[in-house]
Amino acid sequence: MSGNYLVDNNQLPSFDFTNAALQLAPDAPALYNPDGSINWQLNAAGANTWLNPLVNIKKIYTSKVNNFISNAVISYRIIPGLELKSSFGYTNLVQSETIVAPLSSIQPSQLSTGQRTAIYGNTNVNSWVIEPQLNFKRNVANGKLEILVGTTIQQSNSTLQQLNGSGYNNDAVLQNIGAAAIITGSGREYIYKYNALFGRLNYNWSDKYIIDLTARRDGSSRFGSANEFHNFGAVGLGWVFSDEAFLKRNLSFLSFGKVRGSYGTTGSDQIGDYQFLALYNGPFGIGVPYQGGTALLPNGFANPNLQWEATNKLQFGLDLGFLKDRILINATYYRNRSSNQLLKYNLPINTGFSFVSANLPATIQNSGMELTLNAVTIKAKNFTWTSSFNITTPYNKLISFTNLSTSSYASTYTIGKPFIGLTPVYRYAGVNATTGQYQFYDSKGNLTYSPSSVTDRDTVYTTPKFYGGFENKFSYKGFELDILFQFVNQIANNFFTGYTLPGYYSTLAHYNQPTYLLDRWQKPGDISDHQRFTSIVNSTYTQRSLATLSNAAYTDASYIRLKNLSLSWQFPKSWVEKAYFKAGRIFIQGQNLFTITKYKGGLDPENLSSSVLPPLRVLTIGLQVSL
Amino acid sequence: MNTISLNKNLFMQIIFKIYRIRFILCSLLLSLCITGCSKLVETDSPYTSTNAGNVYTTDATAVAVLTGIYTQISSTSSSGISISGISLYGGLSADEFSLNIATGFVFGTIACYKNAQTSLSASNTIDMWSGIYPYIFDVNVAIEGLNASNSLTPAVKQQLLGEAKFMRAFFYFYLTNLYGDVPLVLSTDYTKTATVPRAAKAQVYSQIIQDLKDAQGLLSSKYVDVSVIANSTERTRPNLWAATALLARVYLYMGDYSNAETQATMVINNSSLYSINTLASAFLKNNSEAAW
Repeated sequence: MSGNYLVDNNQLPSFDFTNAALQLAPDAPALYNPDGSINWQLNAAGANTWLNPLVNIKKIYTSKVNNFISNAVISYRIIPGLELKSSFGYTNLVQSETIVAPLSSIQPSQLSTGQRTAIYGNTNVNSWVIEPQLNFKRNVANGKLEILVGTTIQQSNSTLQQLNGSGYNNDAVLQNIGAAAIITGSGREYIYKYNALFGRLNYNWSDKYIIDLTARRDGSSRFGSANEFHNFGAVGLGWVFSDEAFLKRNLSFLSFGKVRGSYGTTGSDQIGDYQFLALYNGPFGIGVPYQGGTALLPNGFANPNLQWEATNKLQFGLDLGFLKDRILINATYYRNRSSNQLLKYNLPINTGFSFVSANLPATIQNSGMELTLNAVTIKAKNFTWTSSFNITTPYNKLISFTNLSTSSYASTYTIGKPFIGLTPVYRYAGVNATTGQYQFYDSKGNLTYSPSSVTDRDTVYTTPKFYGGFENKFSYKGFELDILFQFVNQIANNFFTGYTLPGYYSTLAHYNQPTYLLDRWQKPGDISDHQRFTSIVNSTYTQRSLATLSNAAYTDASYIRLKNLSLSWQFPKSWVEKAYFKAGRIFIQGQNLFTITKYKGGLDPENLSSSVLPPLRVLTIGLQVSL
Repeated sequence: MNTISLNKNLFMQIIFKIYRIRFILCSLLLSLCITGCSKLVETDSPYTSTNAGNVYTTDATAVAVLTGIYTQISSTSSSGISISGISLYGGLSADEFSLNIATGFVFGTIACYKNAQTSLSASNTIDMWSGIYPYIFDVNVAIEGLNASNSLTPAVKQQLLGEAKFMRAFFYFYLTNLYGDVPLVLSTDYTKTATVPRAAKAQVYSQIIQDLKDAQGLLSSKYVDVSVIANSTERTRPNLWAATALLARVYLYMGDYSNAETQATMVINNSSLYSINTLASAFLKNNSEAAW
């Protein structure tokens, strides 16, 4: 039996300033006044002349989380070999959040109409799970037979409530909903139930031949009554060939060898609750009800035909151990074919909503190789060096799609081509030295300003070709050094044409541009990779739009990153005993210390974004003592 | 060692033991397996929301659907991308409004409309249609639900159907005036409406006239309160005269002046409800110029 209670109190600002920094004009006023307050650069009328991004930290966010997790397992041995076991779990998560906007978070020009506001959110999720199972073990002939029958009963109840207050007369009362002049609120409740019946039969003959059969019937409350349940099953086979006498004689360096294969189906119900029901909810945030009455509106499309997503999984693997298992190699080939994918199926807005939760009538294949290598490179009395290396080569493609040509995805997907990561691109042909505009190649290789989206496009594939990690651990007496590298081979958007056009009059925010745009075309005869700027919608604007959709906008974004480096020292036993500790350790750890990449464009090859804060370099120094 | 088959003896032994110790959990487990699991999986709809199955069964919830539409269109902020934004953005680009730059800086969409820096191909424009079609869905869903319902008070059902038809005409009138040919969506079945092509402007207009004539036959001649039966001094729900006034305007836009005059005359002649007001009070709520 176990119990766990966590309390978290968080007041971190929830705003990412990366984008604001990229948009900050080079001649923007100073962010702070000399006295440390926010600088609004007020004009004679007392109104601000710019929007200072630091206003976002004036909103105060607090979050309090209490999380209670408990587990219990009861088992009873009925007779030798037959065991009845049941696990029980209960968790309760209570979160209360507030976001308060005091007067200082309102720009001076809007003070006459702006109001102090506060949002109070409460979430309560309690869920329980009971999993009784009957387990039977017996030796049959030269093997061990194991049979398991069980069921899972699970339920999760979530309650979400939000209250919005406005019209407070003082910053000090913002945490008190009673002080608000106008209060609006909303409440939602979700109940999720899951039930499964499962059985497993495993037979292991002399630790050489292994057969494993599983069958399960899963039910979920997320589907209408006709589709609640679905049957799944799998079969797995394994052969430990290194234990065969003829191999033991001939291949003595091989300490372990196993081939394995499995085929089966699994399911998923990962879609929101109640999507099969046409729910009506009140519109949120209405201070004064229309005519003083209740309001109800449809929530979205109901799809009573929603059903389980099913994935057929085929796997082959080879596990090898050499030199008394000092070197271990695992290789796995997997091929997963999923159908009836649960997703938000895009719809044109003239239907009423932009999506419906649906099963995609498609079969998508994810396949690849996973290779893992673990080695004890050196093992001496006081010194150990272990290395591990893993690499995955994923690939996906669309196998079939019923009525693709008349679906919302006719222009997005092609059967036989990757389902995720395939982007059609125009073929970039550089900047015309006379006009200063981007040109492209058509299907015959001729230069054109207006390539056809049907005939003149290639594709780029942006899903990583392979990725993996390489880790080395060194330990010497109490010292331990751990070095982990991560690598990815991929193609990604390089923001070749810069961000939003500079000087272009638009509702879009203006960005500082990459320095390589300083070399853009400026007068006839200029040879440049980047075309002229424009401030209006004209042919130059159009050429730029096409270039952002061309192969020039994609570039190698592969990288090798030192993800983790840590050094620790375990206190000697004699020290620990004197201080009456169980154990003690000091450590220093660094994350994302350096990166090797040719990627130019976004901020970071790991998150591939031009506007979101990349993974941070984190240094941790710590002391750990167990009492 | 006994071989291969799980022998009978052993099986009996198991049963015997279970029986003897009356192991409660075990029988519980068995009963769970046997009675099947569907009871454990079915959920009711969440108590915080109503659904299509029950919303049109009582007068109050059916009224709440139409009230929901008015709530939405009246509460969207003035810079909204839908009906409520039309007078603002239309007025800005026609120089009816000016921006008060002295008391604050302006940027974004409002400045673009003010300076006529909008074009259909650019990102500056607001897709008004993408805000209006969801309202049209709400109206269509109400018309379908109300028509299918047998348990509502007949007078309530009639008034609500009239309001819904009026609103559909109202939305399509603005939509077609902004965009000309538009998809004419009259049902809620997304498998059909997802591929509806644009309909000719004339077809949209004839649907608007049809809906308004239906509304004239259904709507109360008085202003009603939130019960939609009792009269009200608040001019907040459309009535027969609102439908007639809109119909007059629709005929006017079509160039059908004689029909426009007929409809307008009907409203003008109802002097007990409507009369010309002074400029100062013409924009106040519930004044005698307000049709809806």
